[in-house]
Amino acid sequence: MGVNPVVHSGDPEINAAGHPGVLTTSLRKVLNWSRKASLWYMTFGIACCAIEMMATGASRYDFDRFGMIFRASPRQSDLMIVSGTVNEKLAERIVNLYDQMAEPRYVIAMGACATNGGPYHGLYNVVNGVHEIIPVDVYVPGCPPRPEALLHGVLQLHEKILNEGLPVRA
Amino acid sequence: MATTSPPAQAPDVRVVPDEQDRSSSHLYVSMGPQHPSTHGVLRLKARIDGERIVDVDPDIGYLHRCFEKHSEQLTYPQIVPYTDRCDYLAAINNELTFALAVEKLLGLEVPPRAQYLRVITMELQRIASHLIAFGTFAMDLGATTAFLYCWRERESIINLLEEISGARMLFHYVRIGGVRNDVTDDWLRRVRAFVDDFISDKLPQYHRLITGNRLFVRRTKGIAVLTPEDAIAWGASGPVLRGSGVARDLRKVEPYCGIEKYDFNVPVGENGDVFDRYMVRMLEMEESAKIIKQALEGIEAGDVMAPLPRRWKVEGETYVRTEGPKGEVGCYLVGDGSDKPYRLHWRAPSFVHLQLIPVISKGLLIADLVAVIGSLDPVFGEVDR
Amino acid sequence: MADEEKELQSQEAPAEGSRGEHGEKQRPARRTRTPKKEEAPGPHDTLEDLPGELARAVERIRAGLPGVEVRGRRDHWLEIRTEPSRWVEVATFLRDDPELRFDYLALLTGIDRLDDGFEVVVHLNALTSNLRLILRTQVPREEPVCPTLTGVWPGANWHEREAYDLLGIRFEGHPDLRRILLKEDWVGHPLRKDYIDRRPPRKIQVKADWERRA
Ligand code: SF4
Repeated sequence: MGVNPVVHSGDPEINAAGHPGVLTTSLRKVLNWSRKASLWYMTFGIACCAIEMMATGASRYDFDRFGMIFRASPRQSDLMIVSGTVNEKLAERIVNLYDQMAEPRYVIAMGACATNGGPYHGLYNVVNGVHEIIPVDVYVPGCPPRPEALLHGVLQLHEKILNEGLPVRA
Repeated sequence: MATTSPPAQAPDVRVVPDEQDRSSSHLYVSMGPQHPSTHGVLRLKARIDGERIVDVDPDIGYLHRCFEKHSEQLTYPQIVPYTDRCDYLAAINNELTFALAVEKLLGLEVPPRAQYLRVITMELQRIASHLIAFGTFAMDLGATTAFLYCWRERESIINLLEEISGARMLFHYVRIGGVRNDVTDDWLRRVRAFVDDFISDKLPQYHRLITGNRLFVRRTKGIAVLTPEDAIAWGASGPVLRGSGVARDLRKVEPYCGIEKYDFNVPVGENGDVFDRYMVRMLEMEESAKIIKQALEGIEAGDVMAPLPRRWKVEGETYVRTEGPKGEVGCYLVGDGSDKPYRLHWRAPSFVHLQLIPVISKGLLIADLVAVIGSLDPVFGEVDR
Repeated sequence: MADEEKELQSQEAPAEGSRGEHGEKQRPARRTRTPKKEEAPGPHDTLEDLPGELARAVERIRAGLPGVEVRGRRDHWLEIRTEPSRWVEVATFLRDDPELRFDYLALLTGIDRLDDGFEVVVHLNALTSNLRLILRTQVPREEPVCPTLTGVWPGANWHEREAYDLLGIRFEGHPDLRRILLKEDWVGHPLRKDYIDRRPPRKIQVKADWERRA
C-alpha cells in the first residue's frame, strides 16, 4: 500500500490504532480508492463528442493523470464514456458492450446527445438519451462538452466511487 | 399539403441475415462498431481465408441522425449548426458549402473581407482535419507518438478558431451571407506566426517521425492500390482521387470564395496506394499554409456580413460543392419559396469512399484493413448523416 | 410540416412576426432593406445563349438521344429529363460518347414530389472537360421502380441503396439492394413526406447492479 491511501481523512475508521507506521483503514475505502485511481475507459467514440474525448486523452488535457488509460476491449474496461448520439441501430450494440464489461462498471453520458438526444431530440432514429438503455452514473452537458467539463465529470465519478458501499452478493 | 399517396409503411421490407456459408473454410470476422481503429462506428463484415481477406462488407448507419429529414423542419439559418455535425472534423468546410448553396439561390453577394476570412478559416480547418487524419492513421499502425504530436498543433488551431467563434470544434462561424465575427489584426498576426512555425518546424518533425520510418513505409507502400479508372468510376474525390494520380481539385475546377486568385499546387500521387493517399494529405497541408499566407497579405478592411433578407424566400434548386478535407462536399438544395428547404441532400465524400473498401482490400492481410480505413479517412458523422 | 406556409407574400411586406428572420442581433450597418429580387433569375432557370462548349454538348445530346428534353441552366449545368424506361440507355450514352464522356457520378438521390411521385436526380461530371449535367426521371408513387445505374457507374451502388432505404425507391437490377442506414427490420421510409414515426416505446432497462450499488 502506498503512502496516504485514503485522501479523505478525518474519518474515525482511519488511523484508529494511532500507531506510527501502521495504517488502518476499512476495506471499503481501500477498494474504492484503488478503483477510483485506475479507471480504465473503453475506446468507444461515437460521434463529434468522441473527438473531444480524444482531445481529453491527448497531450494537452491528459487523462493519464487520473490513472485513466484507454482499453480496446470492453472486458478490460471499467468505464464507458458514451460520447455521441445513440441511434436505434447502435442501441443494441451499446447494451451488448455494457453487458460485456465486468462489474463494477460505470457510464458517463458525454454531451447533449447522450444525455437526452440533444440537438437531435425526438427524431425518428434517435434514442433520447443513453439512460433509456443502460444506467448512467454521470451526465456531462455540452455540445460538445469542453475537455475541462469531461474532466469535471470524471472527478464527480471519483467522488461517487469513493462513497460507494461494499458490493453485496445478490 | 395534398397527400393522396399510400401510407409510408409500405410492406417491402427485406430482412437479410448475415450470410454465413458454413461449408467453406472461410472465417467471418466482424470488426466494429466498437473498434479502436475504425475511426468511429464502422462495422466491417470480413470474410477471411487464413490471414487473407476474401471479401469485406462495410456496415454503416450506426450514426444515422436524420439530418436530411430534420433539415426539412428547420429554417435556413437553423440548419447551419447541423451541417457542422456532418463532418465534425471539418466544420467550417461544411458550413461554407451550405452557406454557398443558400447564397447562390438568394443571389447574395458576400463582402470581400468575409471572403478572405472564409478562406483563412477554411484552410486552417483543412490543416486541422488532416492532422487528425495523420495522427489517427499513424496510431492505427502502431505509432502512438504521432497522435500526441498532432494534437499539439490541432490545439493551437482550435485556440485560434475558438477566439473568433467561441466553440472548440463545431464552430458555427461561417454564416449565410458572411462570417459571424470580425477578427483583430493581432489575431491575423498570430495566424501568421502559427503557419510559419507549422511549416518550418512542425511539419518536418512529422516527416522525420513517420514518413521516413521503415516500418511505416513497409506497411503502406504498395498496399490497397486504387487505379485511377476505379477511382473515377466509384466517384472518389479529394485526397483519395488525387492519391491515384487524378489532379482534380474543386478549388481549381469550380473556384469559390475567390480562391482562383491564389497560387497553390495540387499534389497528386503516383501509385494510388495507401502511402500516396497519406502523402497527398501531408503535402496538402503545405499548400493550405501557402493559401493562408496569401490571404493574410491580401485581406482588406470592411464588413463581414452581407445584408440579409427580412423574409427568407428560397426558390429553385442548386447543387453546390466545395473541396473539403475529405473530398467533394456537396449540398443539393431544393427550395420551395418558403423559409425551409423542401429537400436537402448532403453529398458526403466519406460515404462514397467507404464503398471502395471491398474494391481495394481483396487479397490483403487482415491487419492491412486498418491501414486501408485510415488512408480513406472516413468521418461517420457525414457517412451516416 | 415543411410546406405548410406556401402562400406567397410580397417581398417587402413588413415582417410582423419576423418569422424566418435571421436569428441574431442586427448590426446598424446591416439594417438595409433587401433589394427586390423578383426579376432576378435564379441559377436554375434556363439560359438561352449558352457558351460554346455547352451549346455543342447540347447539340451532341440532341443528336445522339432523339426525344429527350435537354436544356442549359444559368449556372452552367445541363439538364436532361427522361423516362425511366430510357434511363440506362441515356446514361450509357452519356458515359460512352467520346465527346461528352460523363465519367464521374457525383451524387444520386431522390426527392418526394408528393402527387407527382418520386424524382430521381443524378449529378454527373465529365472530368476531362468539366461539363456538368443533371439527369432526372420521375417514378410513380404507387410503383416506385427505377432501373439501376450500377452497371454504368459502379459508384451508384450505395447512393441507390440509400435512396431505397430512406425513400423506398426500388432500383431494378441492383446487385445488393438492402437497407444501408437504418436497421434491417425498419418499417417505412422516413424521407417520404408522409412518414409517421411509429416506433414502439422502449422499455427502460433497470439493471440489477444499479440497485446493488449503494
Ligand atoms: S452532443 Fe453535440 S457534439 Fe456531442 S455528439 Fe451530440 S451533436 Fe455531437
